[in-house]
Formats: sequence, structure tokens, C-alpha cells
Amino acid sequence: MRLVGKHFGREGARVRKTFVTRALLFAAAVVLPAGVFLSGSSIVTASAKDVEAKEAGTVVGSPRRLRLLTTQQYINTVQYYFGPDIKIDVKFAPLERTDGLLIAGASVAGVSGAQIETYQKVASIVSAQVLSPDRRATLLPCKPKSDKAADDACAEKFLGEVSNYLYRAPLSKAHLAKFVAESNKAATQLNDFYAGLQLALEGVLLSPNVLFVAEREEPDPHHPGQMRLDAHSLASRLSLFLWNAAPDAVLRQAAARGQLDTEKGRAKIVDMMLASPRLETGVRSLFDDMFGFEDFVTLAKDGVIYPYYLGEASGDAREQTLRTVVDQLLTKDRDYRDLYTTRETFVSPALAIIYGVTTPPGWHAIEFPPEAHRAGILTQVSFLALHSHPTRSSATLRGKALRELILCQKVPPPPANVDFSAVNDPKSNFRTARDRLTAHRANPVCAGCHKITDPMGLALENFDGAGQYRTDEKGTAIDATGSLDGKDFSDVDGLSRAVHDNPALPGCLVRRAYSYATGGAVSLNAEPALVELNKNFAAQNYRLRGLLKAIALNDAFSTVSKPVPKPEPKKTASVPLLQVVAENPK
Amino acid sequence: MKIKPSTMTSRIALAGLALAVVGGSAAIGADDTMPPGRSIAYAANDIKLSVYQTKDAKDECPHGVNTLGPREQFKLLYPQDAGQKWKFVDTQMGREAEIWWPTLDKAEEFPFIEAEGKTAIGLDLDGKTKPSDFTSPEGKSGVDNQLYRVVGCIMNYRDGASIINSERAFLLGYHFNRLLIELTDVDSLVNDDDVTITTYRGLDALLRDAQGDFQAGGTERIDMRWGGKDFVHTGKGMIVNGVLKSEPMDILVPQQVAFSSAAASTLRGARFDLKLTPAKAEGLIGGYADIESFYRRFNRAWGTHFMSYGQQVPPMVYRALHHLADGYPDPETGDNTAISSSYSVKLVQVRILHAGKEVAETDSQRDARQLAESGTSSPSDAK
Repeated sequence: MRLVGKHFGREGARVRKTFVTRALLFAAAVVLPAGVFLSGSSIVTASAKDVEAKEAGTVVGSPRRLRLLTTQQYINTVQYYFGPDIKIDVKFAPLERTDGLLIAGASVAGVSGAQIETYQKVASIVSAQVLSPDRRATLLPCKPKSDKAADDACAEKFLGEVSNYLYRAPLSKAHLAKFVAESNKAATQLNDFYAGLQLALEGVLLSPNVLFVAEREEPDPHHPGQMRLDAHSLASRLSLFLWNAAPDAVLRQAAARGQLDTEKGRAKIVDMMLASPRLETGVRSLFDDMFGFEDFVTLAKDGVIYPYYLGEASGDAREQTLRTVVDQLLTKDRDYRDLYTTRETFVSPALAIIYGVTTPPGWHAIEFPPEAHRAGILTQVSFLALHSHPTRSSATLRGKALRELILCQKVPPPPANVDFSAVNDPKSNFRTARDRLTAHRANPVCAGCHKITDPMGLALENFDGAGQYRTDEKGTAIDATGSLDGKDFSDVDGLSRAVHDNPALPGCLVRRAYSYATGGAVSLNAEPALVELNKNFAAQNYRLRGLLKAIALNDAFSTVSKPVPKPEPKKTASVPLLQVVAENPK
Repeated sequence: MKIKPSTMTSRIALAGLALAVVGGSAAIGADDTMPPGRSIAYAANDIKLSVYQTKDAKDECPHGVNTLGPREQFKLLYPQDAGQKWKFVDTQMGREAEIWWPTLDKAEEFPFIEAEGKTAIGLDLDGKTKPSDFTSPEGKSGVDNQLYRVVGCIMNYRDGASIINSERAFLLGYHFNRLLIELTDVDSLVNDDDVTITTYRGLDALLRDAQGDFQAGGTERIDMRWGGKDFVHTGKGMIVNGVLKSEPMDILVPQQVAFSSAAASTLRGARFDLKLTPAKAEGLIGGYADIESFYRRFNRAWGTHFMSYGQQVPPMVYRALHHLADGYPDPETGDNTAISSSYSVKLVQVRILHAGKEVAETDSQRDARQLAESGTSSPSDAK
């Protein structure tokens, strides 16, 4: 906002205010029904027709979504088009983690007035950079007849191309004409073609058509009586899924030509997308979301207890695991389950002091030797530090994270009146976490949940709250024995193998990837698709590319069905805390 | 080595290494006192001339500290309000020229105050107790530190002063001044009668934690650029009750201060006296400072205005250095060319990455690689 005001002066500010106010009103007008739609979509029940269709074995798809672009999707979209040097330092309002994913929360998000103000500010900053004197020649497809006057043709060419991209669908002529008219009007008043274009671009960026992904449906000719996403909505869903950004020109052209409507054409496009360098961006985003890495932003460690957890450690820990994911699953095309046993990873100088290794500046590959006990991403700083307290490790938090994030199981929350004194008292006589938790479990109210989380969390006790390896706690040797779903082990290496072999592990990724792909919580009627995808994943020896392709080509990905909500849990006098609610036991 | 290495003991040590804990940044090997790979390295994070100081400098500077620095002397020599016109070449340029080409036979125009007293920080470098020697604050006699007499009453070298504080700050901000000390053939960090000491100039920044303290375990590459090999020196020493004591060895001490000015000075017959822990080392480096390199090191690194902040007049210092020099006589003239001195140093444990090994590796991987590269079967054979 400051950039524009400074550049245009008082008259520019007045012109801009008028135009942007209109854009805001437009946005508000669209947002309101969006909220109604979203609320409705979350409470709608399965129609008898849906149930019958499922029983009859016909295609049951995913709900049509209206969702907000995430911060990273917005940034990727802008930078892929205008260039990575466009600086966007913004964090939109946080999303609510829904069904295990933040991105699923984008489909149940509302927009407040304060958020619109943030969107407006970012739009202003982006448009000012795009139309800055040093970028005009590169980013504009035409040159105006005069820098100081409106130019209808050049404005229409620029705004047409940009709007088609940012709207993720062709813009109607009438709609484009409005933007061009506003651009010309401002250019005339300000005697500056680029200033007019800048205001128009700001308006485009602020459009609800840009900020919201509103999927549209059409009758599915291959499945009479059923609906499917229209081609541009399908292109957007594919692009946000695999690239975490708006579809590029090739994908939009494929949609316009009907290529996505045929099985062969869609497969060709998906193969192209899977071969693109942008796939890494999409995969990083999927796993960053699945692993709950947004919590790194607020992660704090006590500098006295963990002096080796330097300021760079959190960011580097997050990056290390994402690099490992990309290296193992994309570059080396390894079995997804091996991610939990691999000793291959990358280290930075800040992580090197935690891992006890020598490394040059920058990122470098390393394969830990077996005696290092660093097998799999559960033994990386990202998991160990993120699921610990600021001053101590936590077998419970680690076990809970393993259950919920990695195996898609649910651990009931602690009762409100839980007594934490045994675990929180720093002056207690308990020397190890195992001692403290054993005492804590003596309380039957606590025992239920902790039996779910602690046996595998205690196997990670050889790592302190910052992720550094240790053999003892307060001079007492650490007992790292444990069990996971019936498999006993004596140390963290055993835990890694048990996680690798756990049947819920691949199913959880399938579930998360499907939810991520379809942009919302998994509905009950998605079960047939998940079963099919799980079988496919196993048949492909758990290769990520294969899973992504299978999801992208699955009929459920493009077929529109109303969601079936989860049944409300029956209220009983006492909830069995021992129960682990497996969302996807298959 | 605590026990002279044999193939058998080396194999035992190697077996210990295989079981060693890899996680700790300052991990100690299987016998709890042997460092991984039988080696450990440190990087200096604080290095300053050892200057014993009493309250208000009453003991060591009973006549006060030097108060007439370059600015004060200039003002007295060339008063601007006396109606006399001065030539640039005779005044400012003349004074600057004198800094770079000092003479020994010039009579001092102003008094230069040397440190007195019987106490100084330092080491007994020659094994003798002479009348000019000091006694350490802990009561050890025979301390050789004549450089202390030169700088002890110059504010630049006293606590809270300009140059000392600045050197510390630049030690953090620049990399060209990174003094590395690597100990190899270490069987025990507590007691070992034969260890090898090698010095290098390091290349990388030191890591600091949230408290501002230096963090052990960082990686340092060896800087072989721009005369880096001149900083590589090897000597022998022993560890007694956790204190490293070395035999005399010549070393080159790097320096880099304001505006990236880089310099170095030779310390001849240097001895290390450092209390070692797995995470840090602290103590003294004594030796005979080569006068010419020591003097030019400061002139190259510091401008006159820095000298002025602490009332340090370089030509007077030069003459005092020669006047008090007590080692390494010139074979032709018999004049001493070096002066006994002491640095008080603090070092933090680092992992040295030797040239050409730009890989990330654990200690056990490093050991295995070094063995493979040497084509031998044990660490002792590899030496």
C-alpha cells in the first residue's frame, strides 16, 4: 500500500481507493455465499442416491470444493508467472488442521475483513513490483503507444493473459473489458499507462476468483447421471495437487482442448506434470503439511538445556526431512516405507553439531553408520525436537505424533482433570522418562491414553528434547525397549523397523495424499477409492510417483459426489480410553 | 600416547570407536577419555596478550598509565594556536612515516611508562629463573613475559580498552583470524605423554548459541588460501591431568581486524599450556614474539586512530620491544630479535575438515576413510 501511495501521489491514492473499494465490495459479495456454501457442504448428508450408487459399484467421487488458496499456493502462483524475484513476505491467516491436514482446512475457511486487508496489501505490493520500471520490459507482452496515456490494446493483452492464468480459467470478454476500462480510466487520470495497469492488476489479484478455488461441475458423459469437475476445475485440482500452484499455460490449453476429458489425454498430462521440476514443490508441500511442520514456526528450546539447538536448527531440521523425502521418494524412487528406516539424509552445519558429524558449509548428503541409531525420519531432529517440550523430551508427544501423523490414528485427548505432577515436577526422584511415565500411568485415568503412545515413544528416549543422542538421563542408563501394535523391540532401530512394517503406514499416506489431492477432509464414501488406491500403492511397491499418478487418474479424483459425513460418536457414560480409533485400518 | 601404540592397542581403540557414541558433539570414545578418532581440535574464540592487572594499576603502573598517545603528542609537538604554520610533510606525514620506519636511536620526546612489579601472567619459557622474570599470580616463578612490561601500562591492552575489545569482536566477525589447534594421537584427554599438535588457520565462522556462548561441535575447514600453509605447524606435547603442555614450536598467529585488515605474527618457541575438556580449552600460549612481525602486525591491522584510543604510540612501542627483547639473538649482531610473551586464550572444540574432504561424515566414518586412504589396518600404522 505504501509503495503505491508513494508512487502515485495523492491523486493516485484517490483513484486507487475508488477502484480497490469496488474490488473489495466485489470480493465481499462473493465471500459471503462462499461461507454459506462451505458450511453447507460440511453438514450435507449422503443422499439415498449416493448410497445406492456406492452399493451398485458405480463411481463415487469427491465433493466439489470451494477453498482458499494457501499462502504458499499464492506465492508459487505469482512467482511461477512473474518470476522468483517478486518478493512476497506474507503469511495469510492460519488454517485449521482438518482431518490431519492444514490444506483440508482451506475448504472450511472463512475470510474476515482483516484478511481481505492483508490480501489487498499483498496485491498492491505484487502489482507494484510487476509494473516497476525495471521489470516492465520483461513482464509486459506489449509496449504502449505512450507511457503517459491509456492504451486499450496493450492493457487488454496484458490483463487478458494475466487474468486467464490467475483465474485458472478463461476470463469472459465482459469481465476483461471491466478490468481494461478501469486500467484506462486510472491511466488517464494519472497520466501514466503503467500506473493504470498496476491498479488493474491489483484488482485482479484481489478478485475472489483468484483467492478462492471454486470448482465447477458438469455432467459426466462417461457415467450418465453423474457429475464431474469441468476441465478447468480439474486442471486446477491437478495443479494444486502436484505443483501446489495454479495450472500453467500448457495445462490450461490441455483443459481448453478437452485433453483432460479422455483417459489417455489426462494420463499424458499427468505424466508431464510428474516429470516437471515443480513436482518437488508439490511433494514438499504435501509432506510439510502431513508432518505438521508448521509448528516449527513457534517451536522453542531452552538455550541453557539445549545450547546446541542453534537458531538455525528448526528451519534446517524441517528442510532436512523434506530433502530426505524428495531424495528418497522422487530422486531415488524408493519404497515409501523405507523413509522410516533409511540412514541416508542430509546435514547442515547447524544440524551437524546435534548429530555429531563433520560437514562443510551448506547441505551435504550423509549416510549414518548403523551405530549412530539414526535410521529413518523418526530419528531426525525434525520429529524428535518438534514433538518434545522446550526443556525435555516427551515419549508421549512422540508416540502421539507417530500415531496421528504417520499412522493416521487418533489418540483421545487427556481428560480435563489430569494430574501431571509426576511428569512435570523437576525435583521428583524419577530419573528417567520411563520412571516418570510409569508413575503417571498408575493413575487409571491416565493409563489408557499412555498405553497407546508411550511404548513406542519411549523407544525414542535415546534422543533428548533437541534430538541429540544420549545413552543416559541424569546418569541412569536409558531403557529404550518398547512395542508397537504387537511388535516388541529393544531400541529405536527396532521401532524404525516396526513402523516400516506397520500395515497402517502406507494406508496413512494414501489417505493423506487423497485428502490433499481433493482439497478437503476424506468423506466416508471415499472408502472404495482408498481401497483401490491402497492396492495400487502396494502393487507398485509403495512408490510415491505411482501413488500420485494413481490418485490423479482415479475417477474419484474428478467425479463429483456429495460427501458423507462421519457419524456422530455415541455419547456414553464412559469412553474407553484404550481404544485407538483407526481412521483407515486398511 | 599413554601406552606406546602397538597394533593390538590400536585395534582395541578402533573397536572402541566402533562402539563410540556418535551423537554427542563432544563425544568421548569408549574409554571415556579417548576422543573419537584419537584426535580433537579447537578454534580460538578469544585471544589477547596476557596482562596482569591490579585495581587502578597501582602495582604494575605505580607512575600511572601512558596518557600521551598519538593525538596528545601531536598536539603538544605542533600546537595549532601558536601562530606557526606547519608543513604536512613535517607533521602528519612525518609521524606516519615514523610508524612504518621507526628508528632505535631516537631519543624519546615523551616518557614511555613500562609495567613494573613482580607478578605477570605467562610461562617459564627457558627453564630458568632470572632477575627479570616474573612470578605468576598462582606463585610459579621464572615467568618469561617481557612483552608485558611493554604493553602493561598502555590502555589499549588493559581490560575495557579499545583494541582488546575490538580484537575480540573481530575474532567473531572475520574468519581469517581463526587459529585452529588439532591434537592427534590422543589416547586420553586426561593423561597422555605423547600427543601431536598441529596449528592451522581456520576458514569458517564459529557457532554461537542463544546465550551468545560458543558452541562446540562446529566444523572448520582449513584455510589454505593466501599463504595458508604458513600457518601449518606441528609439534609434540603431553597431557597431564587434563592440561596440554607442549614442547617449543614456532607458530604463526593470524589476525584480522577492522576493515578486514589481515596480518600475522610469528611466535617462536611457542608453548601451549591449555586446560582441555571435550568441549573447550583455555589457558596460555607462551613464546617469543618476533619483534618485526609483531610490530608490523599491529601497524597493518590498526590505524593511528585505533592506537590513539588507547594512547599507544607505535615507534615508542617499537623501541621498548627492542629494549626489552630477551630471545633469539641475531647471529651477526647479537641483538635479541624476539621478546618473551604470553597470550591468554579461550578455544572451543571444533571438527576439522581437512582439505579435499568436503564431505559430511561421522567420526567413525572419518576413521574408516582415513584407514582406507592410508592403506593400513590400524590408526597407529596409518601415522
